[in-house]
Amino acid sequence: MDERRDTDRGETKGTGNRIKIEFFATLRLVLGVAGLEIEADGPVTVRQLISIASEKLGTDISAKLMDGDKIKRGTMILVNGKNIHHLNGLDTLVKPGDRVAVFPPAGGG
Amino acid sequence: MLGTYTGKLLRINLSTGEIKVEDIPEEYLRKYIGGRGLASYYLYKEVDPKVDPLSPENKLIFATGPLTGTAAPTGGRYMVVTKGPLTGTIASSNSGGFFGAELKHAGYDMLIVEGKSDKPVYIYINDDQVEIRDASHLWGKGTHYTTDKLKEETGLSRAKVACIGPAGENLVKFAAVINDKHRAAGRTGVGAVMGSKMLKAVIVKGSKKPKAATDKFLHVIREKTDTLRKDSITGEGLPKLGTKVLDNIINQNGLYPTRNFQTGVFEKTYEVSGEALVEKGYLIKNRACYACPIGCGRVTKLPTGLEGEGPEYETGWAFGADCGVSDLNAITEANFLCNDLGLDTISTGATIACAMELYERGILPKEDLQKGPELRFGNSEAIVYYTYKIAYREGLGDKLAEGSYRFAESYGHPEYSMSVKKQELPAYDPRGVQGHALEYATSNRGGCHVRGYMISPEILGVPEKLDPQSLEGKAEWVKIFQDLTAVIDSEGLCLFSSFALGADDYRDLLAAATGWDISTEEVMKAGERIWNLERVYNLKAGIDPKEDKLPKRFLEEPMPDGPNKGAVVKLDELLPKYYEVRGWTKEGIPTEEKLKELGIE
Ligand code: SF4
Repeated sequence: MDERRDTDRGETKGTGNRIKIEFFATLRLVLGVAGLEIEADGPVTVRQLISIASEKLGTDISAKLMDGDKIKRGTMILVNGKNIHHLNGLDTLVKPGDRVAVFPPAGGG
Repeated sequence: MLGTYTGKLLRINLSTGEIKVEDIPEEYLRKYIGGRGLASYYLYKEVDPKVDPLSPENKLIFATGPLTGTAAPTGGRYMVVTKGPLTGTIASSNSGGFFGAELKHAGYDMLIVEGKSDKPVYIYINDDQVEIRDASHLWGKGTHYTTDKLKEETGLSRAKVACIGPAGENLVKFAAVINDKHRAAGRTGVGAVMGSKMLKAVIVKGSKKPKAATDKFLHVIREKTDTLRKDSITGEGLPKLGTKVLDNIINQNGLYPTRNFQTGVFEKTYEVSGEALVEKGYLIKNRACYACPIGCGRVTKLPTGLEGEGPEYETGWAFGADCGVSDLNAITEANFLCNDLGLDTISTGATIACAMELYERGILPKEDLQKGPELRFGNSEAIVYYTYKIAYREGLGDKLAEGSYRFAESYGHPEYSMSVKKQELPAYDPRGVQGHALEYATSNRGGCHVRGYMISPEILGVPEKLDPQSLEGKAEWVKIFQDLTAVIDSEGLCLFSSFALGADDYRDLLAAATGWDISTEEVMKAGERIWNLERVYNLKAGIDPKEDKLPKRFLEEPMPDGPNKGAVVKLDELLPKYYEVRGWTKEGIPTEEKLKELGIE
């Protein structure tokens, strides 16, 4: 609970050698958790991060976020608030201390 | 021949009491489709653009599209078109629910209300039986009471009602028309025009289902419905979380306007988000409009016992982050009040937010509050209190009822009104989305997000992901989105269907319903025609193209923090390109050739 509050306060960094991942929308409802922290000694790619997270959660979330080797249409992965589409896609490097927000396809208006 | 059109309009003059039914030439239908397009054309032909919006010379048009009232997915929408009191531009406001479909079933594509009654009245429509009836006993009443009472006294328990609340009667410049109790033709002050005519309500019951011109129609409907059901947004995201799924998305992307757009990150989003609504157990169920497989409406119940529909994303934001408020109970209460009093939630919340900034800056003096709660950001008591005061034009509410622009201007600081053409901007800080910023500046009905929803490609990645800070191709995208939206609004469908459907799908539906051999190109041309017609109307109304602008804040004050830190809107680069793409002069005026090409006289 507290973990979610910290990040939602707009802090852009995780703590120490951890990468903070947050889940939103239907993904949060399905997984039943708001987020998790992953320890890392150095940078990892978003792709690696997804598989590490899947392992920790015991659910393969890659099927929900990816179409084969691509990001699913409408799926949103933000690293420190920037969409990885405009960074390096699934190869975007995430460093310890970074914050990753993951949204399944969603719309409204 | 006419397929799902009725080919008829109902014209009612409240000054003379005259009621007539007229034929609509098929030529108009093919050129302007219906709904927003057709109604705009009638307004253009019949109402002098220079007219005072609240005078008897203005007309109020309720318009359905060819797909309204059919089984086409999301085919429950209708438009209210008039000259608007808030902006002085053409006003057109879209709503869902069941009223539009019922009007169609009664046998009319449009209802045109003219003149002004000298006492409160309502319009009674039961198929061919049409009457103007006394509504003195309903004047002053809320929309919920009015709706129930009308059904009861007419004995038409299954009829549908569109009405105004006290806000419309009191000519609040952003009063809404509310139908089916919870659905609003919210924006641009159409409710004030209805109030100025002393028209309290329209109750309608119809028994005639539209018949498509081709047998293919059912097949096409099935196909499109299937697409909507399978799509992850319209089939899963919207049904599960409603529009409030956007709170976290827009906040995490750093464009969630906070405290009158002073920044783009709201630190308490976790308390008010769509996820919170579900996790706190406030959400009871979904509710869908007529013939809608998506069902994005929320029915909520608060710990205080309050129950109703909403809040939607925009509303939750306007009373929430924009006012710095994180109390979901107060936000929802203000929302329910707006529905009952007949107010546009976006302009109500955003006008209060503007007043809060003026107060905190010491521009709005304490004595002007007339003992009301302090207008400090975060004060949840204030949002409920001033919403009420606005509807009744009491105390400071009388000034707030003029909208944030006139309010801030009266204190010598219009720059604190976050509006375009005097209409309050919705829940996306334009500094985080360059294309959407251009859409704000060029919207024909003033500050608005549903005239070309660029958030979809720039943030949500639908139909493809565009870089929100890039200017490349944005003018072209905005034009296409504006034209396509005009098509959707004119066909009588919900804009949300466009998360999964594209121009070809809207063509397929129209062609199957009407039997027309019509190409996607011709349909998009109709959208462009409608856009240009609205533009010409505004120019004739005296709205200078120089009004295609944004509040100074977005051009000169870099976003202070969050992912968009440092960003401003580059409107001076976007706008000339947009005029060029539109085929307008560099001053922003549609050229003779363009108008000729589109067949606009
Ligand atoms: S998507 Fe939502 S607003 Fe649109 S028609 Fe369906 S229920 Fe109504």
